[in-house]
Amino acid sequence: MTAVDLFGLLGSLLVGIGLYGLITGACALRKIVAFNLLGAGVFLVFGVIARRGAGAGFPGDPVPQALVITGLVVAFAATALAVGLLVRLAESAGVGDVDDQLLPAPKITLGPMPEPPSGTEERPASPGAVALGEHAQSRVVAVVPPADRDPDDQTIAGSCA
Amino acid sequence: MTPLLIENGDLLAGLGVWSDELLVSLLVLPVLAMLLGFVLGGRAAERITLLTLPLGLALAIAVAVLMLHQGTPLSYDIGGWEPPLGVALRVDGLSALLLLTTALVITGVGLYACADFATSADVKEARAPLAFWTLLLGLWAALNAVFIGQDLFNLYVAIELLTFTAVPLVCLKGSAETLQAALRYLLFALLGSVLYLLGAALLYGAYGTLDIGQLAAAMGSSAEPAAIAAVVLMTAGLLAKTALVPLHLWLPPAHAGAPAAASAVLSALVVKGSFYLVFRLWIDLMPLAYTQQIAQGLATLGAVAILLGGIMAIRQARLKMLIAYSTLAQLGYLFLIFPLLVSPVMVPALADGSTPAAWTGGILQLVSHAFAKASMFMGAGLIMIALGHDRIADLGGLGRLLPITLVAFALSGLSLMGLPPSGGFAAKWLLLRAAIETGQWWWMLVILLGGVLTGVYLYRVLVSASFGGAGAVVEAGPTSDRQSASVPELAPEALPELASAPSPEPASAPSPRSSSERPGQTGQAQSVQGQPRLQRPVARSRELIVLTLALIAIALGMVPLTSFEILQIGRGGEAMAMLEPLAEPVGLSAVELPPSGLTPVPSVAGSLVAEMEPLPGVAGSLPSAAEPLP
Repeated sequence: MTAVDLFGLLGSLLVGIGLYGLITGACALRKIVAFNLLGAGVFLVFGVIARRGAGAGFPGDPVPQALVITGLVVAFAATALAVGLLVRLAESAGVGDVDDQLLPAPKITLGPMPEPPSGTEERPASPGAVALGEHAQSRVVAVVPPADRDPDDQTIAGSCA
Repeated sequence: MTPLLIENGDLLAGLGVWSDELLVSLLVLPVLAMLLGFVLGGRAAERITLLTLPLGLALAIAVAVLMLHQGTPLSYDIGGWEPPLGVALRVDGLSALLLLTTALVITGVGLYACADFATSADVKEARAPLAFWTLLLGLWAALNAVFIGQDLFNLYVAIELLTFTAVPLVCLKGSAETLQAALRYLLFALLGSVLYLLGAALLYGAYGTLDIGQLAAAMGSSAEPAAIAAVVLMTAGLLAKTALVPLHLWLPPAHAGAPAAASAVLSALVVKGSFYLVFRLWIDLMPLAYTQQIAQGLATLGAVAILLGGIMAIRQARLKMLIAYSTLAQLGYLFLIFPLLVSPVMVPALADGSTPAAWTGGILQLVSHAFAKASMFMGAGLIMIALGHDRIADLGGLGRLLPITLVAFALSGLSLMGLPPSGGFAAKWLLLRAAIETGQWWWMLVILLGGVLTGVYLYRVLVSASFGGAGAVVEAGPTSDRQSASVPELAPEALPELASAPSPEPASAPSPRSSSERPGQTGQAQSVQGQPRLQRPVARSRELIVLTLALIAIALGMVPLTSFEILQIGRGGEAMAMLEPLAEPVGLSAVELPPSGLTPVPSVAGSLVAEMEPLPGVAGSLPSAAEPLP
């Protein structure tokens, strides 16, 4: 087995693991990590293609290498954007996930809501339990004490566990 | 008369000299404006955008006119580097039309959004306006890049830029619901982008080029297994971004949660960008024989989207969600193009260069939906401002408050339903005709059923809006079931504006039957009689923008069909030739190779094919380019 074969297989393995993680991942953070694994696999495939397609005595075809650099930048930007959104979501709502996206419809039930004073309602972030719909009623994703949540409390309920 | 014509000709000839610069400035103009707006910040971003709108529109018109005048596609190799090393830009009949559509819709949205995203006088810079204006320009640049790109990797960058500008537009409000919708959208898009990239890698590995024309030529009439896998992967990725049915879950909350102006571009244009790439992959890139195999599958997903989207739209209680689900359904029609276009019955028609009905119908559907849906979302935004809510059941009296908006909504609806004399009618009629011609009656049923469903959900809105007060009581029985069923799903999309209307309908609340039954809750939004009161006045000019877009959607149906022959410019070439290599090869090559040699694709690709064995394509193409290197 040559190095090219080995790296090709490793690349496809990474793609497989990443794809599995992205589709079945339990929460958004896992999906983002899985996306990066998948991306790493794709970049490895690019490297393999550069290696085996090289002509004219070059050790590697420069075109795929140039493409990989662009791909890395794009993947980095995508990851940063996703993590940024996730952090913002956690800060504003105390929720660490977008729900399992494979459920038929996103169903978020706002928990026992204190009767909002009409007109001057706070942001919908404060109310407590955010649970998945009927498909996973037992899974309480995030339980945040309704009103008296310490704003400095950075712990986010509903981790990936 | 004659001097004018000559002058006109001179002008066009003069324009022809600048065709390269025109193509490049399609990309450069919005990007420069975006960067400048971002750097200068504050109020400058809005001013720069408003200045860019007419320039960009003029540019799109100039490109389209020039292409019509020449009768051949415009193309340009960036920096003079020819593919496969360089990146080519190309505008053919279809992309010229899409560029024009994009420019028109974005101009309308930009003018409409002035009121929503103005930086107020007492602050130097506000987050939402700055983000909106720069993102709008970035989105425009990305769409232009998608429509004129010819290199698969370049298209990857373009489609990523499109996603990165669309996702923040979804969560401009910054509420938890929109953040969640944006993140869900982004996760789907990430899957799509990485699958697309993998496909691009495999294609480069198999053929040593990423130029669509060269790839098509290199494939000939049979693609390598790696290429098939690559294109299937790319298609799956792009379908996630187009929100075709199994991958559609992100679309309704994202499109309904965004501000109205952003929803309009997202629904009208962004999803079309990735659809356009699917279309190019299967029509321009892959040999026709493979497209025929996958066409029924793609169209089946499209049919499910039409039916599911229609049914879900009927069940919605909020106007913006209804419109978002309607987008889902209308996108489904686009995928019906594939079996109707590549059906074996149609192949002779394709080979002799005539315009098949499915082709014109599909493109017309894309364009008319873009205008109609932009108009609808912006109209919904005005309704939201005027009434303070967008509950369909409580829209009564809208006809008196916002007559122009309601008329625009009805006109757009006419086009979506496919009633004459609208663009949607022409589109659906042509698709129906194609279904009959190719003997695929089942797609005919889907189109008709989809039209009926569209009619039902739009009828609900229009009845509620027109006959509000009395209608609400009559409708109480039937609507209560639907609404109690769908309210829980709507909770995440409860929009922040609704905070001004009393209670944002907790899931357990009784469904809003008639306003008189909810004395405590209907407070500001409605007066005693169930007649809505104007919360905030709406500028007449904004209503007129909405009406204009709707009128364009209608007017598309009155354009004589023969004028759509221009869509054929730069097309009807390679893919068709692959399948029937003996059907007039001379005529086809004459179409493909304009005298000026603007499209060097076949010749370059031909030499590439000659040298091509499993991989040496790369090796064969490299040395010449590598010589300048030390």
